[in-house]
Amino acid sequence: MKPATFLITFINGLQLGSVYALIALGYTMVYGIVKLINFAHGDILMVGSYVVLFMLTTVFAAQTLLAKIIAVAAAIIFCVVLGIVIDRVAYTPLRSAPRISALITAIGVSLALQIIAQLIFGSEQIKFPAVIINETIFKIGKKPVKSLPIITCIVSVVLMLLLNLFVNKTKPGRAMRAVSEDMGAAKLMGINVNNTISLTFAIGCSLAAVGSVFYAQKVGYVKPLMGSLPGIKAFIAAVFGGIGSIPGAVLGGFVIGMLETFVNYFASEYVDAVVYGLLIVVLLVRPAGILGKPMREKV
Amino acid sequence: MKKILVAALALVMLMTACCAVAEDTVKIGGLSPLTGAVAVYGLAVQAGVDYAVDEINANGGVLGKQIEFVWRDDQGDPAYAVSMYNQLVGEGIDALVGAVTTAPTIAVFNEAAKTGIPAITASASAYEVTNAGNNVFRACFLDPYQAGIAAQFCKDNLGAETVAILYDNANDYTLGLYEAFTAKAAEIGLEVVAVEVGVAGQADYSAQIGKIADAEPDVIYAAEYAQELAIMLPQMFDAGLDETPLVGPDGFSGVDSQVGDDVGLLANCYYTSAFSLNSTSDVAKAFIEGFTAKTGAAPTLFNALGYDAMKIMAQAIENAGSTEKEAIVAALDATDIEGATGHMTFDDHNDPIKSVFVISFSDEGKEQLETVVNP
Repeated sequence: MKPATFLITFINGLQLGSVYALIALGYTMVYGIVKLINFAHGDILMVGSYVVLFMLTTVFAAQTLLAKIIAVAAAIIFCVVLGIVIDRVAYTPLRSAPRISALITAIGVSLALQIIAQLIFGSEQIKFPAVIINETIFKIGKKPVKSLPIITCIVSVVLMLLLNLFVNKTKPGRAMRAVSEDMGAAKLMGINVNNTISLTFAIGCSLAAVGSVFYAQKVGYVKPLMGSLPGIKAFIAAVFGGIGSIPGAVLGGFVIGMLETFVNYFASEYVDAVVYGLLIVVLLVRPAGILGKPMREKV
Repeated sequence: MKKILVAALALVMLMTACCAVAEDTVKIGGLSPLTGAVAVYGLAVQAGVDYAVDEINANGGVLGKQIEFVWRDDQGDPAYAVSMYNQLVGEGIDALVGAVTTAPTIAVFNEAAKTGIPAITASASAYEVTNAGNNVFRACFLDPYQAGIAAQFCKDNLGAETVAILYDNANDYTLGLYEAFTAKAAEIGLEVVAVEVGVAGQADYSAQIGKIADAEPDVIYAAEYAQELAIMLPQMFDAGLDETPLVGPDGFSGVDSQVGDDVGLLANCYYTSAFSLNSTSDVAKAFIEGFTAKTGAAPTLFNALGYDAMKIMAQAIENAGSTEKEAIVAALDATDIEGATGHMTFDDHNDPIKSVFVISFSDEGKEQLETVVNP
């Protein structure tokens, strides 16, 4: 591996890892609070990128800086509202039902989002407009180092730090931790559980919306099924780091992104085997994940 | 007594009416992924078949009857395709045009072989497709043939000595191309310096592309579809491979509409194809003109293959003189037709013997005919 290729592969790994981490946070926060694996979360990523595409191609004639900012804001707001609506319509009525019912509902929501997107936008992939500046910063030999991966990493890390502050230092954050620990006791302490859960979905979906912009621009195209693969990889990242743990999701995202990128370089035919194999190993050796708290199931 | 007579008369009239309807048309079933991940190909084939059906019916149909064409959506899924096929058989189809992608077609042809129903696929191009029986045919050329021509083109026309291969190992179509390409490359002395896997749906191929760039090949052969190619091209340019020729299979068709304004990405792209808009035959010209006038868009390869598959089937039914399965199959075997994709006859494996076009892109990003390779 040439040094220049190594550096560029490393940067690409960080970029992919940032996106996985942003999505994984949504999985892990929702799981932490309602013990639900929200399989529709990857499709929120898809919805976010279609909102940006719609704003920049249909609503605004020119792709000015202001238009781009409004488009990204619209994507975040739309995803947040969608996330809350999904929770209220599909998951809240099943709060006391067996967990498997909610899980199956989540898969149903995921399929519904994919099919609705196909009905509205068609099944062909559509070119995604450049939202974030992607200029060559410098060149190593013939290979340019672009600004998009760098911006992706910086923005993601800043968002993760802010999230950490929010969860640990603010009142709503404390409410989230309380509900996560014991929903019944939190209710007795006067915490509005349903609003706290909505807030969790809102935060998860807004992170996914931001991730969607980075991801769609990296790929260059959007399509209705684009969310499922990064969704699954991010889910693996969340399980790897310890589902329910916020630092775990970040760690998992970067590990999976980096691992995938480097395995792609050295043995691209085995990339999925390695990533999914890692999931199996973690589940066997340390089911709670790297940073998760081991918990005994009450029987 | 009168009542019974009236009732009997009514019954007779009803029966003749029903049977007259049943005898009035030749019923042909179509299977195609009209939704799902490969719907882009399914819809294109459907448009081509529909155009052919309209044209045939406007000219009096087959056997003096109109063709009644029934579509079913197989979603590109083998299990689903088989159940849709069974539905069509239940509706009493005389022949089948479909499926579109390789895996569902293999599944459906295995079923079709049991009943001997004449079937033709427009576009499934892996070798196994027509293994199922002597009643199943195809209008497109074979993967191995196409990849072999591509290897030949790399060496003879592009003067390449070394090649890097990028393919999707999770897909029968791309896997078949990869195997045939490497076999032909070894035969003609084209050195393979890197083999990388890029699975469809992956967003980031930059690591594999980085490795290919490190190997510094004279040419890259990418056994991928247009959607993946469109994602890979900017990543190749970022890896410094902007001047390395990129050769691919007919799955590249439609990539020019994917890349939009970034036509520079296509400057060094070539692909093997069974169809060219610059084709000089009368049938091809008439099809291109008529299809463009009807749909408002110039036909793609998959449109043309859909058209040819339907024309081959219609001609076989006409030549058979009846809708007897065996007679149609015999007529299909003896096919000798000038289609939109060139002149076609069938070999012993029910694969067409036809010429191959190599397509490149103009400075404006429009497809152009680079060269024609004859069998």
